[in-house]
Amino acid sequence: MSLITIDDPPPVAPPGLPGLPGLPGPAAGRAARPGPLRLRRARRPRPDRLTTLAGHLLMILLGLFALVPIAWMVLGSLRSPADVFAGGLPTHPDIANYRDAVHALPWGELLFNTVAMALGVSLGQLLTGLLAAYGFSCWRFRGERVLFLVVVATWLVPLQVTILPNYVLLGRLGLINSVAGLVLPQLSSAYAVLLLRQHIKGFPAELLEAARLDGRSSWSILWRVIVPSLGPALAALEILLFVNAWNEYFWPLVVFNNPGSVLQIGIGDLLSADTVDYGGLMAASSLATLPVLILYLLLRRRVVNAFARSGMR
Amino acid sequence: MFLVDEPPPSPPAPAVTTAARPSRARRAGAAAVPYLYLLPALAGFAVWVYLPLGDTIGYSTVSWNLLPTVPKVGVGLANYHRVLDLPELRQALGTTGFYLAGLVLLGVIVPVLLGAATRKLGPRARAVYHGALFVPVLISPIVAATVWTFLLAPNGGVVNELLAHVGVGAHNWLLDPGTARGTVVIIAGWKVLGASVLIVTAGLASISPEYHEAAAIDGAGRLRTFREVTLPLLSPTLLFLFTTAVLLSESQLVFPLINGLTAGGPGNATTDLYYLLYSFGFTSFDVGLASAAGVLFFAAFAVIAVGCVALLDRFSLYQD
Repeated sequence: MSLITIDDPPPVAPPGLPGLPGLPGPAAGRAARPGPLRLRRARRPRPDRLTTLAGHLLMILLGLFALVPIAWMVLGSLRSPADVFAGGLPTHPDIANYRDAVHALPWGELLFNTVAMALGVSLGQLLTGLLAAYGFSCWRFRGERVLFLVVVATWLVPLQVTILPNYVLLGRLGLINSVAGLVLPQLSSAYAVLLLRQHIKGFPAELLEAARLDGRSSWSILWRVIVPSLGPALAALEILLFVNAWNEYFWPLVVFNNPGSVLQIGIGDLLSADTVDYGGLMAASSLATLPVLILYLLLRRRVVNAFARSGMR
Repeated sequence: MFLVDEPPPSPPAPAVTTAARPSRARRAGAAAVPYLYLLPALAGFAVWVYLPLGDTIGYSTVSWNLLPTVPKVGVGLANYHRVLDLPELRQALGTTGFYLAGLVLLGVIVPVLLGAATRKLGPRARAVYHGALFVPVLISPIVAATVWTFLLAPNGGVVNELLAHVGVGAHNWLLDPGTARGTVVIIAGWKVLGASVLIVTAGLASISPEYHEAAAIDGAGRLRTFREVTLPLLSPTLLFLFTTAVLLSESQLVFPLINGLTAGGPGNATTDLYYLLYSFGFTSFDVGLASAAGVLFFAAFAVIAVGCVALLDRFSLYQD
């Protein structure tokens, strides 16, 4: 079963008669064939070849718009620093830019902090989100609607509005310039709650009821029944949350005031330097993106699917 | 795997009810259970979102420069007067409106049209396209800023090179006040467009084909079906896209883009309210001013956003 196409309409049969693209097939001839199913199908608006062709064309253009800048970044990083602006494929891949990039930033520290932050934040969000989503989907209780609004309404409060009090609080806790200062404020995520709620809501009620009749506690139902069957979905969600945390820019910008913070800040510093070394910048950007791309490739379809579903109730 | 791959046609509603009720104390304990599951997430929101929001309101009536040793001095509503008199505020307001319009266009309207135009593609081709469309989602805003700075570089960047072929002279897209804001929007659009198309496509696929069949049998044309069947049934997805475009994209995507691409310049051309708030606090260390601006901003924005969402929700149609 394909994971992305959630429930596709049945694939359209190619027009029975050869014809020029764009010319609708003779619908009457098709409708005349026997069988009630065919009759019904023939009445549905049948996408003609032109529509399909236009659809492919649109998607190809969009796909190029999405991918070409990334490709250009990687190609640029492999050119020699002198002709970083050249077009086409680099004939002699040159790693000089990567050497420059490695020297320009304290990679060990940046990588350590970034990985620690991304793991801490994403696993924390997954856990708090899972518990809250379980509470919201499997019980009816007083204040449910209000508390759900409390979760969603966090989107109404921009980070920029609350950042000063948060900065003061982090300072009081002694967490400025520390990974803990990055992780703690981000442990709860409305996005994680919403996504996980969708998944748990889709869980068959009969299974939960059966587990309950077996005498399992709600805690054991969560960890022994729900979590194991949500396994792959949880992995995909964890990857999404990890990528989000890896790419986080605002909190590190505030929490760290020394150069050894996280990768995104390091790259931002290279970008806002007085003279921008484009080759080195592209190499650093490629390096900072590589881990995320690898993670994505591991579970590509599931990640795309989990993400695409974020717009559903 | 059924529950992961396919959204269930109708979510099973029956809750886990407390069937056996032995004693009062136990009942009270059982009633507390759902709240305990919510506790960790809600505690996080309380400490890092709602209490600070209250603090911001408190800070908005004092004069303070963020130094712990310096006492806060109460100044009443003076900060609010100062904010409203600032010329930067009006400009930032206009820029925010510009960004929001761009984000709704590229994050909601265009994706819905593209999603509808491409919904009949075969599953295999679509999977390939979606794999590509998802890639900008993975790219951090700051890397997006570096990549586009490279593409748009005034001397030798590929965009200017390509435009030279059609007779457009080299241009410094990010340093010209006339084009800087639009360039920021297009880069933000690059991050959100494909992502939104993915979400729209998933939303379209979850609409039961029977509705369209019924519309076709009733003789509705394509446009009419789109307007009166597809759009209303897609409204939960639209609501989500609209909410994220209006509430999250500017604060979490455009902000790092501005910081990386232009630092608010040239002049103040690309400075929006979010960036202004941040620079009040962390460049001028004027806590009172930043907080007063934050409170006004939050209040105005919350009213507008809640109004929009309520409006959208009123016109929504849910399949279940």
